[in-house]
Amino acid sequence: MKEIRRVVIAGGGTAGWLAAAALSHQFHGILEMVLIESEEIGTVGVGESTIPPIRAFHRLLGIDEQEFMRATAATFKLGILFEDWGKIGDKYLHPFGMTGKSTWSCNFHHFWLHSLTRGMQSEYGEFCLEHQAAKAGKFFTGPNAETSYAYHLDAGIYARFLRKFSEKFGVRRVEGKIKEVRQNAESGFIESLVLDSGQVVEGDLFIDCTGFRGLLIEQTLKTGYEDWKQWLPCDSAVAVQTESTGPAVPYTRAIAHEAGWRWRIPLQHRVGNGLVYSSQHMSDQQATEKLLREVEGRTIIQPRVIKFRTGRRRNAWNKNVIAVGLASGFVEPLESTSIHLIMTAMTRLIMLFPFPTVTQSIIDQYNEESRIEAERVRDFIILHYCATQRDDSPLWKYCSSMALPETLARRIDLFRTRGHIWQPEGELFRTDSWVHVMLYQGIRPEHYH
Amino acid sequence: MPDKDLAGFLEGTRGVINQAVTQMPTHQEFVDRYARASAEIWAKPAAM
Repeated sequence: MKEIRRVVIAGGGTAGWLAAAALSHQFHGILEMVLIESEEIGTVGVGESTIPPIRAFHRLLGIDEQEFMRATAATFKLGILFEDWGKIGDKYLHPFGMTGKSTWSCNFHHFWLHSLTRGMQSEYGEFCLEHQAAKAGKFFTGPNAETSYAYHLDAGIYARFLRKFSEKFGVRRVEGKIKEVRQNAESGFIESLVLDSGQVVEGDLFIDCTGFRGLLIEQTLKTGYEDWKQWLPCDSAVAVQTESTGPAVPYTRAIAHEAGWRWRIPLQHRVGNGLVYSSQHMSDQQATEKLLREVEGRTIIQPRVIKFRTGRRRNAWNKNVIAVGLASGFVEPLESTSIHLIMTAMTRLIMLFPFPTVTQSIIDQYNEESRIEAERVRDFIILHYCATQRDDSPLWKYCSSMALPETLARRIDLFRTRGHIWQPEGELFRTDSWVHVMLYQGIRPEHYH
Repeated sequence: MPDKDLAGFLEGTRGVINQAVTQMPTHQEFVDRYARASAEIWAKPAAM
């Protein structure tokens, strides 16, 4: 087994440059790092909504917030406004931050549920700072402020920002398309990538950021993919950018429609829009026409259709290849987890970095943690689809009666029967997030504490 | 918990939040003041 000295990142975009930024910041002077990307290969570049842990990640890298926001035309985000999910006409905001005050024996929502039975009328969201600020279109942060927030950002500009950051820490960018992947004949470990120019880039550890195709992890190593289509039937999106039509609001909008949902992400200079849909229930042309009909503001670019397959790579790490971003799986963008999962993959890799060589136990640990993380996010996303009374289209009829993963079914039952939220350690979406989505999508506990 | 205590607990929580929100600037005002991007940034080719 070779000692790890050279890391090769295959692919740029948000995933590639985030990986480069994290690894180079942590290991500059110890590892030699190369990133290969081709200007001819486009990036998906629509992951533009984030969640609060991005701020901790930026702090780890020493990224200044104001510099980052000015460089990426970012706005603040306090949550997501869900429209037409539980029922047509429903509207609720899933905010970041805490709702109310909990005690050691009882979460806040139990007090709130009890207050309703005592005739005290209120909305659950009224007890959350981020909810109320978002609703009022307001925002503040400062040294003593405790607001929980994230950003809306321009993915293309963000990748350029991270490239500049990474190059400062010694990452070498190589322009070119990968035309051949060379493996060790005995171990199957990847040894080098051959570019269309004929240049050979050798490495000891490879980060696959080649997107859905997974050039190294799948096309070369045949790692396998676990498909989640039975729970997340949307498999397509069409994206378009529009001019801003008013002040940017501090939340993402997620508006359900008969065959999926539509996003709206306000940046400083424009708005990112997209329509997610199940190709079984809506054609690309229908989706594109619907999106263009429903967006506000003049379109800036031509709509672009993106095909995806929800699920996860069976092993995010195989031999000496670690898949990151879309190459490792995809849980659709409903709760803005794509960029977050790239960041956690990087922090996990840094913590488990295989100095001096790759061992199977490190691979197994990394894969186990990745699987648990992905499945927990998956369950939370499925919740939005299954907790619905909508029966106006085949998609919603299917979602409201589909068989659920056992882990999610148990959580829903625990809440429905007793109002409890089971919270595993280290889970991304906390109690308050689960309560907001369950309550506002029609799951009311029969009993509470 | 007696109704009076429960009402006080909820009203206290809500009151603190509403007071904080009232004092906040609008999101747009805060962005403009804190981290306005220059038109040069916007003019570069968009992602896709």
